[in-house]
Amino acid sequence: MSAPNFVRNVLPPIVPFVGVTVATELVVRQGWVPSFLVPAPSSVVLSMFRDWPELWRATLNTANASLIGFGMSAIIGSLVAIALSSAAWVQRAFYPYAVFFQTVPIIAIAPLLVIWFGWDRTVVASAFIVSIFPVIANTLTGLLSTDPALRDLFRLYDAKRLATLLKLRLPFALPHVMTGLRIAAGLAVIGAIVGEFITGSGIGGSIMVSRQQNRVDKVFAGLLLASLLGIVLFTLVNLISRLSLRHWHASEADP
Amino acid sequence: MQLDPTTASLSGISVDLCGIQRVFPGPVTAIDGIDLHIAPGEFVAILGPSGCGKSTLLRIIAGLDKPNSGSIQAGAGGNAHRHIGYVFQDAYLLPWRNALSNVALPLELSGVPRAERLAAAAQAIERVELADAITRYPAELSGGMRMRVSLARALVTSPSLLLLDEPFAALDEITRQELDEHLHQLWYERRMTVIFVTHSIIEATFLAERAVVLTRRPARVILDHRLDLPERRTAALRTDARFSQQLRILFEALERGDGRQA
Repeated sequence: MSAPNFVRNVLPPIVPFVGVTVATELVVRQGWVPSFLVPAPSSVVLSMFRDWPELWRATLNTANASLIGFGMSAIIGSLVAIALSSAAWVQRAFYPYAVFFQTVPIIAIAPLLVIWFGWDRTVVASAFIVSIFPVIANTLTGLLSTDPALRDLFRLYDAKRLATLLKLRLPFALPHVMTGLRIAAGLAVIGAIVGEFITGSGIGGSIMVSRQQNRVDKVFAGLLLASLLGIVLFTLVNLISRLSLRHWHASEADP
Repeated sequence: MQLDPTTASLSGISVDLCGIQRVFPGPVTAIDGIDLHIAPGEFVAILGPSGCGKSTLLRIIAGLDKPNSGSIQAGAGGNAHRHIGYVFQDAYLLPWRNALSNVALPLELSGVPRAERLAAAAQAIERVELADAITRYPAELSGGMRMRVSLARALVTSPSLLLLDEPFAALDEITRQELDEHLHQLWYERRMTVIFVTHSIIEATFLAERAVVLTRRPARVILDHRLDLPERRTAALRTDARFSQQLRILFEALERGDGRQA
């Protein structure tokens, strides 16, 4: 990376980060804000080191559940969108329920999930339920916006329904699918952590226990790891999006 | 009938339109009773003011739209549908496929094996003089090049009927003339039936053996004129006295059909 690039792209987000960190450290050290409310950044880093084995295990658990939940959302969400797009009446009959499903607060049904799926699968189920709707909604929009002229082209050559789906409608919907996946990636981590509040495992469980022990520094360490996990998943989707769209879609074109 | 690019006939089919009428909800009569007999291998230009129903007529011939009354017969029975090539107003390429793969699409959809269809596509691209662009994506091509790819895609099935809907209207004059000359050459060699919809009198006169002028909506035939020009068209023809004479005939018909008397 050249020096001007570094100044333009990397430096700007670092400046506020350093500023806020130093200010927080100062404010807590001076005793202006009690450390049981906001931990000094140094103590968060310290906790990160001291509790690393436990935190790392928790992170792996959460990562695992988030990824499985996200993967299920991606696959099942796309399939549901394909089904919904197959006929207007299917969409009219079932789409309202997908919307309804989305408005049910996950925190309220998480205990139910334990009853239905057992402790082991609750976290995955929660990640899945929270992240599927954006996949359905965006993929459906993409599938329904195929260029009419291109549809004519496929009709002209007597394309079968499956060929039209695989060679025209799905690729055409891909930029929309990617938008859905980007939103779903962050939501899957949130869903997993909500599930873990109930089951007591992973980062969610660690945050709960640390809170009960008044370990605000460890709560913050958990929060940090949860955000990092969300960012990793998001970056992963971005990478896939870039690889699949860079040749043809303006959103991922080389500058 | 299986589509085979190697043995498909090089000659055109006849097209018979009988009492075609198309009424859109509204109701708006777009086409009001068009009879047209087009002989095999003929190059016909359909001229008319913008929005007069020319495109609708072409879509009906292609089987993409149904007339409210009247009948269409393309070729002598059989599944003539498969031997139609269609070029839209825009290139309408699949942006996620490179030029070669775009041109191979019609063959792919009718189940021609991969090696065979790619060979046929490469040949079709060569015919439109784009051989060096086969691996490029539509976003990397100019408007004129995209239109050439689109033309190659329409030709890859060796259609016996080629339908073009104002295909070069969005291009600059030089590129457009170039593509017109190219299209003439392709027709001259292969003798498929060509129906070319345009609102450019110059383009119609340059390309067609026969020009059909339609009236402003609803579309009716106001002039069916066999152009009195040599069969072989070259760039020099555009400055020929006979050319401007033919232009005038079409121009007058177009004006009459437009409802505005000269």
